[in-house]
Amino acid sequence: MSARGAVTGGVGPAAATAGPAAAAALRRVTGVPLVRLLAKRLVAAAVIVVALATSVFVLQRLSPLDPAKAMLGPGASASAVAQQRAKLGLDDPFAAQLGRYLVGLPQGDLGMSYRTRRPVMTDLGAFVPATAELASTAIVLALLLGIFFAVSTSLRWPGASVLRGVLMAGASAPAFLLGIGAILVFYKQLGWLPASGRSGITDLPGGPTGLLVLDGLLAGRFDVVSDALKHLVLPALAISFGPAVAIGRVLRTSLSSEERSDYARTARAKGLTDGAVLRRHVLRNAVGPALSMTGLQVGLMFAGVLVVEQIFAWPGIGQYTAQSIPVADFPAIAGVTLLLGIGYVVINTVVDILQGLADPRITT
Amino acid sequence: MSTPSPSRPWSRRKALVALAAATVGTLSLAACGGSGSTAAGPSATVSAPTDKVLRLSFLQDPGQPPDPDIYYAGQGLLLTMNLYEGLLQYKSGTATPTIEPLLAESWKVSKDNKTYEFVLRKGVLFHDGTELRSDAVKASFDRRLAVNQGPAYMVTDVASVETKGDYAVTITLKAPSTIFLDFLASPYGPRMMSPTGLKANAGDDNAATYLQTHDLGTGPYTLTEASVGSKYAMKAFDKYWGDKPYFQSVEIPVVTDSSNQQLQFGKGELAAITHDLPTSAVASYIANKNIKTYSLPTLQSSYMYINPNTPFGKGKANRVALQKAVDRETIFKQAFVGRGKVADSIYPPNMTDTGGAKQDIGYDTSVLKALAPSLPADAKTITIGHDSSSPDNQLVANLVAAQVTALGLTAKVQAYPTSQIFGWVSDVKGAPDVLVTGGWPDAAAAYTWGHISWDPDAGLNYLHCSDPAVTAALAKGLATGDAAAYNEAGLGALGTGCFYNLVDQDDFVVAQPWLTGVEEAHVVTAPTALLIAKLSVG
Repeated sequence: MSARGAVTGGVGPAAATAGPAAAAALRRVTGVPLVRLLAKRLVAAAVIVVALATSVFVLQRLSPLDPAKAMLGPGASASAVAQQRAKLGLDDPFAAQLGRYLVGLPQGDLGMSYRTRRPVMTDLGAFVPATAELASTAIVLALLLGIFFAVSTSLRWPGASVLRGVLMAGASAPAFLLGIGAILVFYKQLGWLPASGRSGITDLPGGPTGLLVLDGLLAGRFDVVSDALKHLVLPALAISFGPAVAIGRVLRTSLSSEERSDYARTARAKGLTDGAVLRRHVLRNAVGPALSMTGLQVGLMFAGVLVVEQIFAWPGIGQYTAQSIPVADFPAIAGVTLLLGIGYVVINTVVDILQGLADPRITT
Repeated sequence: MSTPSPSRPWSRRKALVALAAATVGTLSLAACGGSGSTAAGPSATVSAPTDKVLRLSFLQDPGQPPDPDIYYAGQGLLLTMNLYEGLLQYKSGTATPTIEPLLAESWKVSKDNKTYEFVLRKGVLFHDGTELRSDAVKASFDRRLAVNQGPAYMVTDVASVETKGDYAVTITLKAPSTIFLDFLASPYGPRMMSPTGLKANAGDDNAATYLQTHDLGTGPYTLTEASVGSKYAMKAFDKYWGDKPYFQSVEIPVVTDSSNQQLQFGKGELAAITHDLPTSAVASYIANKNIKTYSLPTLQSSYMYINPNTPFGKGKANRVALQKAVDRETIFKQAFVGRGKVADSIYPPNMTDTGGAKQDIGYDTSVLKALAPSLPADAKTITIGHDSSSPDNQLVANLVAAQVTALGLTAKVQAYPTSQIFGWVSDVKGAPDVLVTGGWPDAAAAYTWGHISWDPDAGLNYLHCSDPAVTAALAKGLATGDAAAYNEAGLGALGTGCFYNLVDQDDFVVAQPWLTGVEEAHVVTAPTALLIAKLSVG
């Protein structure tokens, strides 16, 4: 048996339980623990939705803003404003308004936007894919950069300190500043990448996902895919630097700790290279904290997304929210708030499941 | 203990040098280009497009659907004015509001200003192919009332719309009005819509849902895309009754950041920026010889409202002292130079029949300076509010704050969202001592501003300041059209110490040098918009 084969047989805590672990992981995915986790999270999501909806309605109640007046403008007579308030149900008791809203939620009824005059659900259907595409691209970039950062510094690759420096410098700047800088360099001076919007193509595929890259692929429209990717690069990079460093630093610390462990030393003693030890054994054991950090960063990333969308004229929920707040469009604000709350629960649930799969010692 | 890697790491010094080089390179790229290629304009002349596509932009989404019975804001007029037409219009390309025919060829007004007879233009087609006939006028007026949104007030005094054959219509009002023609010519006035289209797409909301993404007008352009927050587009209507437009399609992406918008203009991707350029950019554009700049007349003003319901403002002497203490010349030079002038009249500029209503207050700081030490403690500190959506007004508020602070008051500046400012009309509690905000009337007639600003409970009387004499003078003006009455109303409003017109604002437009017809395409009553059919290349 070669050293390589011996080590493949398992020396690390996770690898030591590789066979049973795989089965355990599968059971987690298909079995009772996962169902229990999902049920817990579903209840948590419901509680969060009710709490957020109540908070938004309380804020609306306390707010001096008058949506009816904002909708109708200065020329509207007092009677027209009163009629509009009645039409919007703004004169109803607080409990009635909140109750009506909560009853509508399971049916997907988030009310009507005062600004766009469309159902909030329709608006979210139009704006969320743009944000989802941007955020998912940013998190993929953040993960790639973070892993590269951690592994390169851990293995002391040539140029690792330059990458570290660049990432640290990028992460220390706010996302909006990175965005503006990226526009100046890559749009204004070099002319390589576009500075605003999701696409410059007029006849875009009409779905089915609203994610332009995916829709372009599904429609066989590679011009759309290429154009959408070009539009994604700058805003996604601007958002990803901060999370990349956070993830990378946690992963690097975790890798360093695992590399000093007995099983890693044993693996190296058996003849495996540093890279092989890292790839086959250390990485899996070290990834748990990084996954936790990823979950946190995805939540925080939305704050960056909302700002960056404004700079890049990205038609996502950040832009939708920014334009809804000044005109007291409470249904729109509430819709986005609930969506983000639910999204946070979902992301953390996914992270918990991934942690369980990566390291069977972690229980959900 | 981990085994050291055989690969040789870069030295810290090398790494720092490389990082420094990369940083310098990036900063150099961002900074180079010189003054000619700043955000405020192109470094070289950009050639005209050969595809007859006009590319403009919105700074933020228009906010409301391009339905003329709903839309009641600013920049979306670029859509509604090119998609729809009314019976009358204000002449473009002039600072003097002049009502002229549009879909009505001629009209007659009864002596009592209650009955208006119109003869319609023949051969006009709606975009759905329906011919314009008198039934469309009735259907359009009925729809405006039924939808009952912001602009509906213009037709609430209509008693009846009678069709007299296919091309004649008589509109009778409930009470005499000297401003009804202004309402019909207003950019927010009733637009004619296809009765066939309205019926076919009525749904349960008078076709409001349909008109979010389509249009039923007669204008030179039809709506081809309305992606909220992303992009709007129009194409030329090939059966338009008037002169055929040069540009066959118009693309209007939503750009949410002014700097980004300016960069796109600088690279020639936008033909023009028609509104909301920040003060800092205006001076750069004026100095840039590679582009064209226009300062076009409007009815816009930047106003200062003084709250009579706060410890400071409840005394009329305090309000008047504050009016006198504001140095409008400085405000103009620092915030509006190149795009307006210090306001002469309490009315916005270019309005008709105002009788002048001159603001002969004079700049005198001594009154407030003498008054300030004797004010009670709760009146010595004032809040100066401004509309959070307007950088110009923020700058003005800061300047006013600096000026009154130097005279012994303590002033703080606070931003308020538009909806909160509108909310003070219902409940003034929480409103600041001073509000700086801009605005324009819906039409050029003096009453349209005076009523909405100075009458009790009016839509722009944010801080609840009124005077029965002013209200009476306005009512007299409405019934008679007498400029002297409007002059009296204006001077009365000024005399309350609550209102002060600081600066008359122009529309500042920057355009590529090849874009022609900008001045001819601008209507004094329609800020931020252009009649695109009048634009061309040259």
